[in-house]
Amino acid sequence: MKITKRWLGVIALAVPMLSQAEPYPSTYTPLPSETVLLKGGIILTGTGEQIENGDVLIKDGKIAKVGKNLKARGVKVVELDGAWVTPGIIDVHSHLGAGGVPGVRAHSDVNEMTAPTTPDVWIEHSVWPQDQGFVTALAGGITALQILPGSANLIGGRSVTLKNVPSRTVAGMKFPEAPYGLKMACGENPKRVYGNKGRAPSTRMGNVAGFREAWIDALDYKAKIGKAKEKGDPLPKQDLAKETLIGVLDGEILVHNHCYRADEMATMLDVAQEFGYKVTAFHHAVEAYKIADLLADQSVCSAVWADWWGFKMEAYDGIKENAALLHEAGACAIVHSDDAHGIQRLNQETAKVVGAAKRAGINIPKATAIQWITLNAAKALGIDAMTGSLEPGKMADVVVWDKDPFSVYALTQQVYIDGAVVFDRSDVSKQPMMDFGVGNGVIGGGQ
Amino acid sequence: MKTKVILGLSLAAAVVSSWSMAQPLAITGANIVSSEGVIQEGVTIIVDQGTIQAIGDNIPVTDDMDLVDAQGRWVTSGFVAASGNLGLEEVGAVGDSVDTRTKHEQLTAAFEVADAFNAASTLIPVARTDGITSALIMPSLSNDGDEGAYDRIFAGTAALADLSGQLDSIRVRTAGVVAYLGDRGKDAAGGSRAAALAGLRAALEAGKLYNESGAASKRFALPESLEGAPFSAEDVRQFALVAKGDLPLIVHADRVADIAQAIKIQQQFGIRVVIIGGAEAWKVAAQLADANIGVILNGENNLPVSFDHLGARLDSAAILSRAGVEIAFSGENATTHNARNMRQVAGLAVAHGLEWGQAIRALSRSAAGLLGLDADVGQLRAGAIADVVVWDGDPLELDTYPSHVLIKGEVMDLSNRQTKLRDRYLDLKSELPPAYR
Repeated sequence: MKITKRWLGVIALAVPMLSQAEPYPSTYTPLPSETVLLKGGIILTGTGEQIENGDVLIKDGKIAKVGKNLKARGVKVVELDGAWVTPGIIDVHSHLGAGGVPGVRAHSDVNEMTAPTTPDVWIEHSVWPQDQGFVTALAGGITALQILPGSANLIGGRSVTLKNVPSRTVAGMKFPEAPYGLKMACGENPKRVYGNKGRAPSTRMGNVAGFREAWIDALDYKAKIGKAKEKGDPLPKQDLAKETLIGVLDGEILVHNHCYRADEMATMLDVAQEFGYKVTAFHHAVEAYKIADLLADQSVCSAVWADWWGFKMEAYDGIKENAALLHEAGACAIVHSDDAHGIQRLNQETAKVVGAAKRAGINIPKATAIQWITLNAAKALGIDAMTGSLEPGKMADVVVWDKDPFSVYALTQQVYIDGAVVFDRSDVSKQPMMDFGVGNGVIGGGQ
Repeated sequence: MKTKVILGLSLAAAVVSSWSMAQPLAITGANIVSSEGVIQEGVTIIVDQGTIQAIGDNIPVTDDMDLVDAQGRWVTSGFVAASGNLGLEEVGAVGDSVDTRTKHEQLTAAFEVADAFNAASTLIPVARTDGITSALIMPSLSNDGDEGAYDRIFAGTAALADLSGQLDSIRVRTAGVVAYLGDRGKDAAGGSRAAALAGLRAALEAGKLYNESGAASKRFALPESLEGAPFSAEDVRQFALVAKGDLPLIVHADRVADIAQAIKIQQQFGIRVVIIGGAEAWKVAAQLADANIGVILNGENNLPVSFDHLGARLDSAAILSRAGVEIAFSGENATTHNARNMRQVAGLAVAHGLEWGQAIRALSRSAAGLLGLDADVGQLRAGAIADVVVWDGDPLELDTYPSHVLIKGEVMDLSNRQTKLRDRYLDLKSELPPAYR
């Protein structure tokens, strides 16, 4: 497993920030659960295995056992009857809650489009937990997701990883122990947004200069703190922006870099090298297939769409096989949504890649491809020790599908988060509805 | 023995494309869905001179025919993209490459997108590779990267084009006039949907006046009562066609109140109406069926993305179809560049209760039939244009692709810019850069 080895570097970085009492802590607690034996299904474990006629035992909110002919006395048994079981689906790229529905101006909280670098903003302070998109995503099997600031800015701010459980507060959704991310964006968006305002950056070279200046400032601030500590002087005033950037330099905050073009990704790897940080994942990496070898060598994940292309110039060379070619080259492939509808069907998006790869003569087993929306996604978010696969001891984030999730006809039957049934297609009491949809005709319920 | 067997690969298709017009072609062993939605197995289809000459289970195949043995695989009429801008835009956010809308003051309804159709667009082979053989191409009010206000409710006139990539691709120049009600019509009309409806009625009144004045042969001037109306004499000629029932009115509407208004207007003016969008159309499914109004449905939306979409749901297609409403599929991610995803959207509708045969019908006959264009397009029927697709599996499944695509009887090449880019980067280890491949 050469990929696993390449991953070690990233896993080592994925430790939570512990420098001081963390502000804005998670208050998430799992919903009530019981011990459940899922019996007689086709299990995609997320570790690369497919088990026919397999069972999954969920106990105390964790995966207790995965295998065949599991026995457990006095527990609730769910007869799968050939249904499929996968780990909970994880989307590494979402704006749910920050750009909620209805998509009115009053709900537009994704881009702090007032300066090209805004590392001081935290997307969790934009997230409206009543966005109906969370529960429709849940009906699509999404158990965890990263909410990112938008791509208007070179450095857009901190991301947050959430458990996809309904909650009155964003803190109640925050994935405990998940590291923060930093959203960066290269290419057309920042240069268009700020170029149109008549200020830098208005070119790709302006973009790179903007990144470098931000990191130079961060290093300078870091040195000042170091010096003050050394001399016992008072520390400089707290600087929200530089604190976040230093978190990246210290390996505590993971970089998620929106970047379409292959050549720009290579340049961004050079920027990372210059300042001593790591790019955890390129997002919207439409041209990643052109540098799959480089991305494999540098252990950078690429989060890609199945088939979005041509909506802008830097997306013109999109191909359906992108994720498959990355995987074949030994690089980390992830399928993401960036879309409140697409997030409901990441299984189908993955299936489209597998289908296109098959047409090109590349056969990717379903047990492998499912990792693109489970374990690999968890790795990119630094939560793979806790979730992303069906392994004993991990959180029981599990999806039961009525049929092969790579079929267009498959629907989720049940979704578990930390062992709790958070969605059940055949039980209306397990079909959450957000406040917005109350009394105004919003349908919900898996429709 | 002149019969050649055509292999199910794009290379073979490329090789044979030059002669395929020259002699008849037989597809044998086809499983088909009839236009009534009935499955028939082991069917033979004879294609010659660009049309389907014969179809049935006892059709003789002669030695002079080229042969495609479908071996029991699905064969459908080529799918028809029911919305979007194929051939009208290359890169959405690059205005230089987009011809889907105009701010020209004299051209609202009279803006005919057929004249802008670019048969050489790279989007066309991409759609064709997924079994789409023709497309309704629609004018629109705005597009990605172009957020400017368009102060009109009429976007222009839609057309039907085939996806052969040939210069003579336009099949129907004027297929329907596109109007916006709902939230976009409201903005275009100055802030209220009531104003959008008033504008629509005024336009239809003008069309009626034009027809009553017998003005078709001479230059028509707007009557005094319509002075200051936001349309020109050229537009009125188009409204006249709608008012006469010669051209359908394609109405963007999602809120049930707007759809109900469209039904009223259809009855008041005796025109033909098609709804596009249709988030809440399911609420008036019976009325739509009674009025014979079809819906080009955004089949992927189930979110209250605006206050017009509160009742959006994934089983809309099933509800409408059961009530007898003719439907076709569209969607934000199933149009233009990704028109190919309308198969996925149809599959999703099946997962949510639509009959499979009806889904196939929605993708083929209905998409053309909603506008009254299904006489020759979208059907496997003797006499129809030979747009035929042989699939390597269930046409709605995510890993299914066509093995053969025929447009006007001609076997199409199944490569496209994307398959070529893919092949260029399959092997990253060669000494020379990809630019030499």
